[in-house]
Amino acid sequence: MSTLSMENLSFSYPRGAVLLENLNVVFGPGRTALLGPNGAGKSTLIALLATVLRHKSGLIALNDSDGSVTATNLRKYRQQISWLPQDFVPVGGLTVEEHVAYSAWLNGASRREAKRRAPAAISQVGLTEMAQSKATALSGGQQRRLGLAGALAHDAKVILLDEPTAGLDPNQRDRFQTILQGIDPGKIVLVSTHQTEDIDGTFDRICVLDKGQQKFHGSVVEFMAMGEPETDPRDKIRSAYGRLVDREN
Amino acid sequence: MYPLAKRPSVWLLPLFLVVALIYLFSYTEMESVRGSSQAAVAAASTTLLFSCLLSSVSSAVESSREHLSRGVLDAASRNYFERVFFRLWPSVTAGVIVQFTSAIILLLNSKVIPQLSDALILLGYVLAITAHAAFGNFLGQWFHGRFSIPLALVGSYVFLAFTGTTSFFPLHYLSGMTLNGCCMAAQNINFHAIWALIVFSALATTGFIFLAGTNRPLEKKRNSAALSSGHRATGALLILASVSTGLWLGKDLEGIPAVAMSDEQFECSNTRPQVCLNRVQLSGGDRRMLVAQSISSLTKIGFPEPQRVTASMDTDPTVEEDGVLLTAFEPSYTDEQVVYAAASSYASALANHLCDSDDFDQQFAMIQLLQEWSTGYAQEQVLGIPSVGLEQPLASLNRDQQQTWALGAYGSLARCEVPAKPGKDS
Repeated sequence: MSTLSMENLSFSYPRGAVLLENLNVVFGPGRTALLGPNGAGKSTLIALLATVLRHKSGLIALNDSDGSVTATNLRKYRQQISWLPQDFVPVGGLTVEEHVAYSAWLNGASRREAKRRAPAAISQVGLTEMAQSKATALSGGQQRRLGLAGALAHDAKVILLDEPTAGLDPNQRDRFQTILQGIDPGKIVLVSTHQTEDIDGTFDRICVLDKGQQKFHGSVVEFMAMGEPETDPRDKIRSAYGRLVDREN
Repeated sequence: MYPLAKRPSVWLLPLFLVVALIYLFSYTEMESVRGSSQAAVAAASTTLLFSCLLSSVSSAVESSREHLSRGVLDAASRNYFERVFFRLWPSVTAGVIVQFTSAIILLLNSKVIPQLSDALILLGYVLAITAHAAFGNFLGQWFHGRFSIPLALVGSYVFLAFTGTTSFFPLHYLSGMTLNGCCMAAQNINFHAIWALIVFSALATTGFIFLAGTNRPLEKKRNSAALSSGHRATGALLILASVSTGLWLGKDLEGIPAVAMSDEQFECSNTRPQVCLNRVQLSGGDRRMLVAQSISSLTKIGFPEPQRVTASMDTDPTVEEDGVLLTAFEPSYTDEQVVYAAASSYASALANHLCDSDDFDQQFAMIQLLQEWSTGYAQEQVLGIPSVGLEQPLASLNRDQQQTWALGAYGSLARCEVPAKPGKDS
């Protein structure tokens, strides 16, 4: 079973406040929602796990046996992860199909393999009809699905999605949630969000971050148990979240 | 995956190729490369203007496309240099197609088989084109497309134009544009010029690739540029090293990147006088006899007889002291031009050894008149072409008087004296 673990992970921007401090978390297979208010360090943690930011101290390891991510095994590590930032922008000039194949190639697939995998990934995110459209001509929600298709075509063990549904209309959000539910449960899927209404039914586990500290990490059922009893699941999640996170947020 | 048809270099290639060929046929004298593959390949340097611009602009377009994207390349596991290669190879290939097409056209016009050493010039072109592609890529990674594309066009053009025209000669050879100064038939290319181009281009390419990779938008925005300061310093140092090494390699070069062929590269005839030409000069046919006849027509009437007539530019002999007369010879010459060049040799020797005097203008005027007469005389004697258009008052003298004046004028000029004008003392 794959695990993505952090040990004593700390990070701060130069001349900035400490964003993450001695964070110890282990993510396993399945979909985990990374909840937290704005500025909690969710995007920073995702970017650190994607290695687009470098941590100052602590360890990040995919499967304990592989050891911590360092400059020497960075390539191998990156081959196993996919990252979709909140502000995903596709490369200009390519069609959807070409873009997905290019993303897979960039992450280690051979050209032939990348071409072969692209149609299935596009179908999984519901963009088959747009396969020959220009990637840059897609709407915001479609572009994020395109980014996810790139991650799926790459066949990564870990998929890191940073606020993938932020700014999307309810239909697009529902669609994205459905796609997430269809992802192989053997993969580690970590999705940062501050929308508690997206949690129920989509995720297996929840990790709550606040001010760079882990406030909760457990199953959705355990999380809801901390909420107001006798309310519907969404309200339970909302109230549990409210109890964990400083009201000042 | 990333179809070639989507590569800007592919759709820019036909335009640049057509313009380069129009330029090549308009401004290159195809006959000038006859017999010398080296001169042919070097003459192709004129189209570097187009091949380098194509490479620079197309890589800037591709690079800026990727620069504008987010989340596609930032966490890619492909090695940086692999990605750069994937991004640059079509731009480099398109530039090389333009450059090699012009080289092939000129090689066909040279009508000789290329030599192995020509490959070094071609390697210089490939590296120059690669350096411009790396420059465009660097701009594309650092600036938005609306700035990087015009900057790539202007930057590459200014570099090529400036290095090609500055009076500081070592700079000429950083761009390779002035290699077309090579070579007359009696010259070889000066390989210092090629090494300057190769080393400069290779180091500059590496420097720009390093510099391009240091602009990671996410890290820059959120984590300062400190992470890549080492790479940035390496890139800047490589650019500095490229310029200084290129200039050092070209420090002894002047305006023309050519050296005279050595005497050993000349084959001498069994004629009297002996005529020595090299393989380039002989490539249009063996016309050493015609040269000998031209010289003999003048020695018969009293001009000093050289033991050897050579087109070598390696030494600077005189007929009187060394018994060697220098002549000019290009394989593209017609028979008329061969006789003209051979008969001009006496006057040219005088012009090459002008005496220190206050009468330079008069000396020149007399040398010119002597050349006019001697070439006309030789063409009439050897080819039967009547001499016309001789200047007055020389033209008004009879044949014997003209000969007497010419011999007297040659003798006077050789003794550093200004001869009398025709008709005065003759």
